[in-house]
Amino acid sequence: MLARTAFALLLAASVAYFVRFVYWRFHHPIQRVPPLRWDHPGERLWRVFCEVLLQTRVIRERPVAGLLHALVMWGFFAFAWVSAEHLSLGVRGLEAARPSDSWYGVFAAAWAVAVTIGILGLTFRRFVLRPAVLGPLSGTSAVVAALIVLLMTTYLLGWRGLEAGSAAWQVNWWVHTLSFLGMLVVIPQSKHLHLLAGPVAIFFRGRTTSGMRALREGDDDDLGMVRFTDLAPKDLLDLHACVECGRCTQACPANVVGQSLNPKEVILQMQRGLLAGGEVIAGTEEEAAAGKVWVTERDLFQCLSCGACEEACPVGIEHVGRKILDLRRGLVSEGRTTSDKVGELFTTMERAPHNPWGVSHEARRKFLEAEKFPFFDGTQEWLFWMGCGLNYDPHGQEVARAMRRILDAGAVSWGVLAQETCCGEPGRRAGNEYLYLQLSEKLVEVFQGKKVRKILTCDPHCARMFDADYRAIPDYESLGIEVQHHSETLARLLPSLPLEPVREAVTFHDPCYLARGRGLTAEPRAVLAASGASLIEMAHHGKRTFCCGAGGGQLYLAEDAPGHDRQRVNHRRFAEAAATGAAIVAVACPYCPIMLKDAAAYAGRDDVAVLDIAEILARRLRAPALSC
Amino acid sequence: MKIVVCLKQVPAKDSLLRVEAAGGWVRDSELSYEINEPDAFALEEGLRLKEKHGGEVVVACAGPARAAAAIREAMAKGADRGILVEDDAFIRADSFSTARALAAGLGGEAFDLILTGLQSDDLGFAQTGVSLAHLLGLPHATIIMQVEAQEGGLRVKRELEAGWFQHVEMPLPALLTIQSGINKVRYATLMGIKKAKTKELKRLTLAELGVTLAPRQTIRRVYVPQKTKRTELMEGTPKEAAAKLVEKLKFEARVL
Amino acid sequence: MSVLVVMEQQEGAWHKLSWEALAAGLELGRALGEPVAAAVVGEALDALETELAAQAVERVLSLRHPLLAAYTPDGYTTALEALIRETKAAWVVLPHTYQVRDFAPKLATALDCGLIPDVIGLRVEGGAPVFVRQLFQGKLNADVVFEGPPPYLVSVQAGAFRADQLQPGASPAPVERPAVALESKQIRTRPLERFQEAKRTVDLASAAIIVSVGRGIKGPENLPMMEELARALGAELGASRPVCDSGWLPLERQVGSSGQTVAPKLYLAIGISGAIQHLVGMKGSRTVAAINKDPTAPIFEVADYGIVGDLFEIVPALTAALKSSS
Repeated sequence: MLARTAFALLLAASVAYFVRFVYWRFHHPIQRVPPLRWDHPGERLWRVFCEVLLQTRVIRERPVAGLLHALVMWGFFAFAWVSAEHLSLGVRGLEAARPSDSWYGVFAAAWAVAVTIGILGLTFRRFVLRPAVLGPLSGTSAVVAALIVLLMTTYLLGWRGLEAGSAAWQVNWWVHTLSFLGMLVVIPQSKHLHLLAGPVAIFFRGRTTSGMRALREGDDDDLGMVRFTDLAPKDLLDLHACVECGRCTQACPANVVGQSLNPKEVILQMQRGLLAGGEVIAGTEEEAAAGKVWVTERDLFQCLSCGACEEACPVGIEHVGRKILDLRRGLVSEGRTTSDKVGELFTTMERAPHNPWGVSHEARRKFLEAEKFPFFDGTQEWLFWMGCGLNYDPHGQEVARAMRRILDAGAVSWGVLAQETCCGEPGRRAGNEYLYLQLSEKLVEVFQGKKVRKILTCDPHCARMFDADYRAIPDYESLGIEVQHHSETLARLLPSLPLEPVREAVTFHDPCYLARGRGLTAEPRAVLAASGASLIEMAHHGKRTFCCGAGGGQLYLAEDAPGHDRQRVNHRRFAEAAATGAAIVAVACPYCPIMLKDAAAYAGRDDVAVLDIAEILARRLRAPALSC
Repeated sequence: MKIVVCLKQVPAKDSLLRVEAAGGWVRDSELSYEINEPDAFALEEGLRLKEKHGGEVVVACAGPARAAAAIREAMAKGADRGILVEDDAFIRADSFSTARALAAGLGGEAFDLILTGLQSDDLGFAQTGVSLAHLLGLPHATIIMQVEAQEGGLRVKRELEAGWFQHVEMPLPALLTIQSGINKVRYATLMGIKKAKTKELKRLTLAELGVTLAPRQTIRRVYVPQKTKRTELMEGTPKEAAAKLVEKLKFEARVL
Repeated sequence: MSVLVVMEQQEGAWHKLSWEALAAGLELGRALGEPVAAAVVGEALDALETELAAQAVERVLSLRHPLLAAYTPDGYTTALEALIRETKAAWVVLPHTYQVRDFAPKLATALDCGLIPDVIGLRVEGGAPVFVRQLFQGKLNADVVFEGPPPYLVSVQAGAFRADQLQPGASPAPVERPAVALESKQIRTRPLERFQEAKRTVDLASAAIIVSVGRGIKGPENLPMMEELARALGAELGASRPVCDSGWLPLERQVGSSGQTVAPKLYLAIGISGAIQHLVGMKGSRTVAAINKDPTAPIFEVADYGIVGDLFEIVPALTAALKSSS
């Protein structure tokens, strides 16, 4: 009786403790908007099945540690029934114990061994190998490891080692029970809350990386993410789902080349600030040092918005669009940035011709005139949106020429705008919502006036704007515009193009905003294959691609390296591409070649060409037959 | 410090300028407009002085109705209120007329400091500020690269030619024309735009002010200069090409 | 209806643009058939008066006063306003210098007359001069005429009139020294010493001429050749990003979006192909010249002048040409 009462009290206390801490972590005054995402529920459930139950991401990023983790996690599921039975005994009285001879006992025992191997392996890694990315040694990890080992050994002892109901068995039962209840105490106040928050965060994660939210309609106080009260439900989930594994940081190009940005620390600092009752999230380094803010402007503005962190995260955290870029937006909207480069980008874009380089529209005008590009007037099917890269960069103009040849060979009906401004991408990614709102408003008017129905662009950044960011603008959304990146258009056109493939070794650099931001990796490869390329993949390819260094406005903000103290993102990426031995680095974004060619010049590798997939394909077009 | 910043709205720098059939002016219906760039530096300097010494920044403009947008933009960046002397004549008026209108528009209100940009990016007369100073009986200095308040007035840094500078001291009230690059201009923020909606913009007409414009000079005709902006390649041996380039740089481009 | 040219001097030395203003004044005088006088303002002007009197002018008017020793807009305006009213000069021609920009609009307002600044040409149509000046930063030209009664003030742009074609007068012109009525209380601003900024080792942002080199120079061993050209031009040496990344030149010499943004009078790009990241850093340059072996290099798209060829032959030739021409 005494034992049953003691058990009941302990159980109640543990559960109360658990609930209290979960409440402490999740009960904060936050926003309702944007709400949790429920679209595409099937896809989301499948994602949870793969990433949680099958542990695909955990294993993909770190095979050994991932497998060990999977053993522990699968063991937990296997133990659900064991634990239920174990606890029910506490209610029913230990005298009800019977020797276990069911098949399930054997099954659970096998898992107990697997879990023990898993947890000992992970403990060895964490406390002996001590990879730097895990950060300082964590006491709770040791406690949790000890509790798990205790749970497993006490289970094995209770299953076969001790006589059911004996005094030793009873002691063993109590040790197992206390270990179990101990987990209830430890989990909600540590990163082990990821057991609960992780799967939920995975379910509600965006379908592509780096997605930004629209400002709350009619809420004049919404200037971006400024205070902890600006968090949305998914943000709260994210902050508590973090398991501190550092996969994000390992994947972050800025961090890899030695900059201070550490996406894991951004999330953890936000978590600390939230739990400590902080008010404003981000500010200058001085403010951070004085304890007034939790995340620094400096770190935020190193982000390339490439989404590698989100792609690597095993628990569905959205570091970029929903945190870093939104925090930038908060700083910029209140005019609290101190970086001259950031200010220059905005003041440049504010003035005509409204492009991030501030270069005259004259160059584009001359180019269109010389090339006799058709102007879009609403009668053509496709608006070929050139984007600043194709408009102003000399290499971009080569890509535009190639596109022209292919589109005409494929009998596509297309035209370009006589005058283009920036769509607002670098401004918005760098945090200047006002600039974006101004530019998008004017552009939507143009699209309405010209009756645009389909947009084709070689720029995955623009494609992202028109296919995601702009969709929050009702006047734009009502136009029902279809958006294609040229890799999609070209892949679609392949059967109708007169091609003469030539075999050559090519490596493909997946643009972040195409592979992760749009989810496309097959289309550009299909285009390359049709042109005869034999593809040599880099280690970082597909959705795990490594940024060229241009994203998130960094092309214009420029890494401000005073000296040669660290690597540059583009140098690192180019070295990886050059190491494949391919003489051609194919790209599908106008900014990657700017960065990669710069790196090639630095490396003195004139022998490696950086070419857009359109240029490669256009070279394989058979010359048009002379018509009579 | 009570500061007035005079600004002008000009065709956006990158505008494609087409001369109207009569040749008297450009086809301005096709243009977009923005704050004259040197004036943006003057505004920034005014805002910085206000942030440092307190006071008020008032934006004054003589221009057509559309110029209100430039004043709104200035208010979004932090100016407190605006005055627009509204008339289409200001689109191509001479500086003398503009200065007289601005002097009248300020309506005898006492200010400590008046700032303007060095010159406008469209007409480029570079006179309005100095002329206004004379009309208001104020001392002035031009091409200013630094402004410091000191006991009894100002100490400013004037840019001279060939890398020389000069400090000049003067009493207040005074007028300064600001050189581009004196500071780093701030960007417009979402918060600023929201605040600007409630700020006061006073619109005045020439009739209300009792001013009749009497221009001292007029633009009779505008036209595209002969010089075509094509790259001119120097041919010949290296020696010949080099000599031709030096000749061109000296007498055509006049940069040596 | 006489013409008066106001010359500019600084501590006993002519501003060289003054001679171009004189050339413009003489041209205007010839076109209108009017006599041309020249004025100079300052304190001790003996040598300058003599030099000016040798020119083909009707007379030299020398405004001398201790309060005119240092330039002030109040002092100059007061003295010149009186002179113009006294001599009834109809056409006043000035060089478009920083100093003239500082006081001429005040002078015009005081005289209640017009000032057409920065003119690049003039012609007489139906007995009345028409002045040509640039609008929209040189994108358009305008013919501008005066309205109302004289006087009329004009300032001339550097390089628009040829000072090297001035002919000395047959005999020295008379020098007059009209009395200058000026009191110190009329002068409200107090000019202090002129100074130059403590010269930073590299100052691309304010450089008037920049010679910028790219990867086309092959290696750091070829830098001395480039430096010699820069010296001959009185230019600062700039570079593209790969040159600085490679450590051939320090980062503060880098022109482009990740380096300095420059706006010199002359930007000479040597062995620079012209990636957009570089172009944006130098797009404000008034004149661009480029030397590159590749005629299709994008830099030629933005250049006013170009030489296609081997830069290792052209650069020394250019240096020699510059040295022999000065």
